[in-house]
Amino acid sequence: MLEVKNLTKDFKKFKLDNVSFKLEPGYIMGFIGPNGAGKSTTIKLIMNLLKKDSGEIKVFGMDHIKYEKEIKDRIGFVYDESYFYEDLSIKQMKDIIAPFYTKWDDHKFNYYMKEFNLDPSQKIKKLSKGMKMKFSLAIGLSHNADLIIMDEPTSGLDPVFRREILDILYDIIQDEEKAIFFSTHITTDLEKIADYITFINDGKIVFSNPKDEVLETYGIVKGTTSLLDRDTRKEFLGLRETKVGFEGLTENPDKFRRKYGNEVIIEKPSLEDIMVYSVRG
Amino acid sequence: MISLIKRDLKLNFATKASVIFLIIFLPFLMLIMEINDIERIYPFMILSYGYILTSMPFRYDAREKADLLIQSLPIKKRDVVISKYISALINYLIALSYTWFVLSILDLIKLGIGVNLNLTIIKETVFVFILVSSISLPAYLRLPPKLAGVVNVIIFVIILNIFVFMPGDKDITNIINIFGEFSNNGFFAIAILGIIYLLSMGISIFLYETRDLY
Repeated sequence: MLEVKNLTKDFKKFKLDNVSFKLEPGYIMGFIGPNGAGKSTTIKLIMNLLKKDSGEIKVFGMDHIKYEKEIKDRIGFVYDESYFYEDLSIKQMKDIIAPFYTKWDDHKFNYYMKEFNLDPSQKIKKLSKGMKMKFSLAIGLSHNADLIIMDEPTSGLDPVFRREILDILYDIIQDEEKAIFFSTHITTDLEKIADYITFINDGKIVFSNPKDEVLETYGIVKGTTSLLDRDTRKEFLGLRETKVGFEGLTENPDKFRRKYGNEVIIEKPSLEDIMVYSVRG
Repeated sequence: MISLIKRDLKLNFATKASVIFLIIFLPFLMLIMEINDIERIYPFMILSYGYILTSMPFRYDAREKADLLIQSLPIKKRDVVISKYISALINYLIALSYTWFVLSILDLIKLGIGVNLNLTIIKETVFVFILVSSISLPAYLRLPPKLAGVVNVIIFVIILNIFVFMPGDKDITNIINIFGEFSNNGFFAIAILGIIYLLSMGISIFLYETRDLY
């Protein structure tokens, strides 16, 4: 459904370097990484808002530039912030957007308006950030899109609405023909719904694997500092030391289990742990 | 394509404030203008009004970064550009009609300027409007929005001064004659204007298709 191969984009101060990943129908892929890692750049490249330097992007098996119009007709895009005309009302904005989609569904749009408690006559500039995101989501979900691409949709939203969004996304994915590509800082959201996790840091893909595999592969090792020597340190992707002990992320938790037995405690990391330790080192 | 043109029209008249502004703009312009040559009022009003109508959607896009939203819709970039060039021509017709309407009303209530709309005014303003649009649209479609806004105001003021306000033998009619006796050879003039406009459109398509949106 979405295939990115060796994607490269060089800016003066930042380079998106050889990014590759693949998303199949019926799955949700979480796209995680710290600020400035290249998440939004990757999404803008997929949407052809930025010009790639090299690499290949295929959506629904088609080249994303050659078949741009056909592809975008089948993508529901939810932005990280509001790019709507603030002086317009929700209805006026919808009337501008709807004619561009061949499968626009007014019933569905009205359903989401009610579901999200949005008043179509309300000016967009009067909406709160959460309400703007609800509107953006309603637009993205009202034209029977096969692929939903969301750039930080839950940032700045309250937990109740975040959960509401996750439930909607979970419902969408049930027919196994659609897919969702979801970039976020809030990794706990992904732990609830994502099937795959793609982690990007400093413009490079760290991994792109099934979520369960990611959580199984890594381990947080805790122990006393006396256990740390040069070789042991090399086994950690990230390490935090205190006066009383250490805590580190490793890709080989079994190795520590075998070597140190009960001298260390090994815990399953969260996605946030993996991201934080990998970035900090 | 039609949806894009409709969007531009809707944006111009989307709010009460913009509708009121567009209604009172021409009467207000007449109040504040100090033009020695009374015959220049007509072209000045048509061109100013057409320019404002064309630039308003770009200003909306600059303020809200809405070009990102538009670009994420199922639209070919080429269509975005072509729609802007068609919208500009529609805006010219709206400007021409509304200026004629306002000045006719003022004439009726004996507040007019005593100059009637004629073919020469239409030829002059078409020429200048197409020239302004051919320079300003590529700038709008390529440069960062705020910079494009500033550049285009400068372009508009310079061209307006050269072609509309410059006195004596440098006035618009003489300059048009360089392009082949506009008044005598309408076909040639239209062909020249068409080529300028299409060339500008081609350049804009290239610039817009290779542009990065941030």
